[in-house]
Amino acid sequence: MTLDTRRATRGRAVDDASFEAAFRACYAARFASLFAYLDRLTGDPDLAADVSQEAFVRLHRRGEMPDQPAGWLVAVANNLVRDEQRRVTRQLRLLTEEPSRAPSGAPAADPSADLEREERIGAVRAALDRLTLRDRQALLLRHGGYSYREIAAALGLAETSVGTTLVRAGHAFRAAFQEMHDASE
Amino acid sequence: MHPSEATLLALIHGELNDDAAAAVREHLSGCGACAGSEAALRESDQEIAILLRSLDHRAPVLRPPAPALRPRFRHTALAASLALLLAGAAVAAVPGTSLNRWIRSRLDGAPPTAPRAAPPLPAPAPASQAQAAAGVEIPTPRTLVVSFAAPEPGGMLTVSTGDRADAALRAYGGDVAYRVGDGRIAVDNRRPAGRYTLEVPVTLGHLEVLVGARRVFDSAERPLGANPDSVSLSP
Repeated sequence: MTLDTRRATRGRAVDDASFEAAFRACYAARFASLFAYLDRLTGDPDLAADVSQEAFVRLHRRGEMPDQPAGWLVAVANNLVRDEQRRVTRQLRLLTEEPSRAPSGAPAADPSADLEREERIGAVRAALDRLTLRDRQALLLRHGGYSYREIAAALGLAETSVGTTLVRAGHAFRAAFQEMHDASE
Repeated sequence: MHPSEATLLALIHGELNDDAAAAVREHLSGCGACAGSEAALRESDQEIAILLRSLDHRAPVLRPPAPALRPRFRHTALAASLALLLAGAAVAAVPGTSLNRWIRSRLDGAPPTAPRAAPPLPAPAPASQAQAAAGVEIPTPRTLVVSFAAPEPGGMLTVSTGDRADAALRAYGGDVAYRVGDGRIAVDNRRPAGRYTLEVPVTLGHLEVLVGARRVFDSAERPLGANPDSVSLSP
């Protein structure tokens, strides 16, 4: 083994060790927020957990950290969700969809409160569905704790246009929710 | 010139730099219309946060993924495995025999084969041991006050609840010092980390986060949900 080869091998080992440390730190810091975003986006916690895990597997396979790890993970996860939803759409032509799991939180003590809660959740989800996909994703990312820079990286936006997107998405969401709420009364 | 709604929202989100934030605040102090818009946007933002929280499910507790061995490791690992297997045979092999020569030829150039999965990665190291995250833990607090010495432009604290007995605050980067008292964590963040996580027990009665003398989070006003909550540490 030549001296140059030994140096190169040692350098690679250092790179690997620092990647592993960075990956673990990223997983500890980012898994929960990625899951939370996907949970709200899809309404399916099982899918959200699977996609979050798969996004991190792909990051590990990549072998080096991207410039914007949080944005990179969301971009990969968004693609995985899109692929999964296309697959499910095909299946639903033949199958009947099972009701999704109820969100967490304190279970309602009486049926009327339970019903009210379900209606509220339905209205929130319906209002979200009224938004364009990009506005919905931006709104959910912001309220999942992502910075404007991370949102821009995840959605392929200019960082300067994230604020405008969020204002538009916020107004549209509130208007749609109000309409759903009024319609249910 | 009046700031746009996007600028006001960026101020609320702590996304403006110090100079821009100061300029907008100065404008708000003298412009009732913009101050009203800012207040309405802030209220709307909080209402949206509450509505979206109703969708949350509890995050699963998962270990880091156990992906297949990365390509750069494959040849080395396979060569090492083959070397171990063949080393046993080499002990019995007489030097200079054809078997010995065959072993040497295999050790010198192990052919690549299909990759195999690595064993699962261990769970992340505790905060005190992790290189990238340093933190502090308080056992079984009933209430908790976390106070940051100074604001951090763009700084973010992610608060999450879990089935745990202690509260753990971690900083990712920077050079942060902690003082821990009875139900209090004081964070000296003059060399800021930018990103922090706070994990608290689901049973925690009350949580308050202060930046300097300013209260930026109060669980009495913003109840802790199943999913992480983000608290801006910006000025």
